[in-house]
Amino acid sequence: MMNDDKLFRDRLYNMEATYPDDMWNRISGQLPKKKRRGGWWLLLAFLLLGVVSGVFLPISNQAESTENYEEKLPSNSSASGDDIIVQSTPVEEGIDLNQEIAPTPSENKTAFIPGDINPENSGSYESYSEAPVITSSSSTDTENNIDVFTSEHDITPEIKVAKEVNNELENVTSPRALVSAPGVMDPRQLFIDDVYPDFIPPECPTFGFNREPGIFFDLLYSHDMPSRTLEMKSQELSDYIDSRNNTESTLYSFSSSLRIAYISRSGLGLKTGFNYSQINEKFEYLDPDASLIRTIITIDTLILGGVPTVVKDTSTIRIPGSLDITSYNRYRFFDIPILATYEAPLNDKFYYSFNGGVLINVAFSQKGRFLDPAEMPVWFTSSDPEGYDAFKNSAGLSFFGSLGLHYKLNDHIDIILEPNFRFYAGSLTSEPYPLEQRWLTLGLSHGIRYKF
Amino acid sequence: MPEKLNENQLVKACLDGDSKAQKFLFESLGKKMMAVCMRYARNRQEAEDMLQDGWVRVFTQLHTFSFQGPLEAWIRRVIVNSALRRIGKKSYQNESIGIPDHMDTPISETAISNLREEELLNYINMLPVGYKTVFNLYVIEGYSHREISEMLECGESTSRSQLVKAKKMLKKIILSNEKIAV
Repeated sequence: MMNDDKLFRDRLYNMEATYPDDMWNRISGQLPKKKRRGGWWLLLAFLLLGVVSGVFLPISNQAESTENYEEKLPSNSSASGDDIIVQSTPVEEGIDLNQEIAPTPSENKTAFIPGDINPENSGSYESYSEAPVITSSSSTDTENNIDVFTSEHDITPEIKVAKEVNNELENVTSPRALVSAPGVMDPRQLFIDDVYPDFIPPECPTFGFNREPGIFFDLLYSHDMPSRTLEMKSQELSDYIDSRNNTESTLYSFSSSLRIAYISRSGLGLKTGFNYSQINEKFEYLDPDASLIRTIITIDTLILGGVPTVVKDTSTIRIPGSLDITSYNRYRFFDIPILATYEAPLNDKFYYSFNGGVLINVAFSQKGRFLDPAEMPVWFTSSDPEGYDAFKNSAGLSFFGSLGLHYKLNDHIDIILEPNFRFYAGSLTSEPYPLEQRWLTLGLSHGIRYKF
Repeated sequence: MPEKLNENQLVKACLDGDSKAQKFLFESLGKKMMAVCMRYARNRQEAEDMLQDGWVRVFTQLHTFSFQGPLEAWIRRVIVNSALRRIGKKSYQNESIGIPDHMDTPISETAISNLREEELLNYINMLPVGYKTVFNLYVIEGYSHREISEMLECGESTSRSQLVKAKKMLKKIILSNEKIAV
């Protein structure tokens, strides 16, 4: 058998066999990496980019609204800021105190508060330009033992709020773990070869990316630019659509998601988790024929027979002028993504992924103003029971697709850059509302993947 | 770039974490080592896993290479040890397959010479794991029974008896297939 041994050795010692194309990736993925500070600086810069873009942009939008604010005051008005000016009329002794004291424009008994006086009204403002004052009802009251002039006011314009944007940042990744899985050496092949010498057993089909299956956590933040479409349900409302399109414009929007992903050996996998999206819009409306109703209380002190007497007068005034409304509307979506994914390597450091599936909406809320079909500005805030009922409670299904580029930072963390789109297939408006409203959102996500 | 390095420089580059040098070393010997793994594995998947584990150990243990012999031989030894670790050193020891005494019929040299490497590999893989392991270590790798007994943590006599049984069974397989071929 010695000769047989030599024959076997000569034939088999230097024998070569092919290994999977990704074998080096699998091996290098398990090798300890040289410590490189640059990677962490890169991650830090990446996160900083997200924070800056996610926080600064909405703030800059808000700042823009403040800069565009123009207070429209009449030139002869003495009002400024939040002050209310009341000038008392001299009253002579002997006057009938039960007589109505009706303020007139000539008496300049007016009140004016420019801009937003509702503390909730941050992010939305209205401005009124004041015209000549018209006085209406009044009443009187008398108090004794008061020897100072007093003024009060009670002005309650109907101004509500549109909140500004809250931003959130997310990220993730994970190392590639790699395994391959092609054919299995079948002992029966021996006999197949004998019967069919030229038989070449077919190899099991494999996808290009053989790897160890694993569970990963992806944390992503996406900069989104929404595009809205409005369609009539039945009536001819093209003018109304034009009015809405002319008064509403899309702003920087964003979404963030935390996904848990299972990626199989072949690179195919599933992702699910939580997704929060916010679409921001700006509503701008100018009504040149608006009027503002205000109530003014004026208190005068009279000296009657040497005794100080207080006279309190309440009046309601209507201030005609122009109404300039700017509101930052927001639409919030909370969804559960169900995504199929396929991941494959590009080289040692990079790999890519295709993601597609649906987002199941579990909560949909809105806040802001728009023009109703009568082309009057109305609030549609979902939490306001008095709000205009224009939207559904649920956004339903939306379709999502993305192409991800992943960079392996270390054994546990990958960086992800992921252009994406999201299409809201169904109309988001309620049944009575005459228009259908949909969005297509294009976004650029960035984040990190972590593998435990 | 790595092609211009001698063996010492290549090892040093690998030890410095140069991924290009590591990849070059793997690609130089990867196919040979894959064939080694296929002789010890029960299937191709296991062979790939052995190869992966083995090369990871090669790079993580490369600092122990003393430059006193060929690098290839050292790598082969690491790969073989890694393969043995995966299949389990004890997995073969209780194997007992009856080998008929009349199997001492010699095999003609031409019978082996005419076989393709893949066929030889198939025949070896027909052996039980324990027989195959000792056969590979002794006949193909060239280890002595003493070395095999240390690697497998068994007695030299066990190694010898396993080898005898392995050869007898291999003859039977080859002869039976010669008959089929005829």
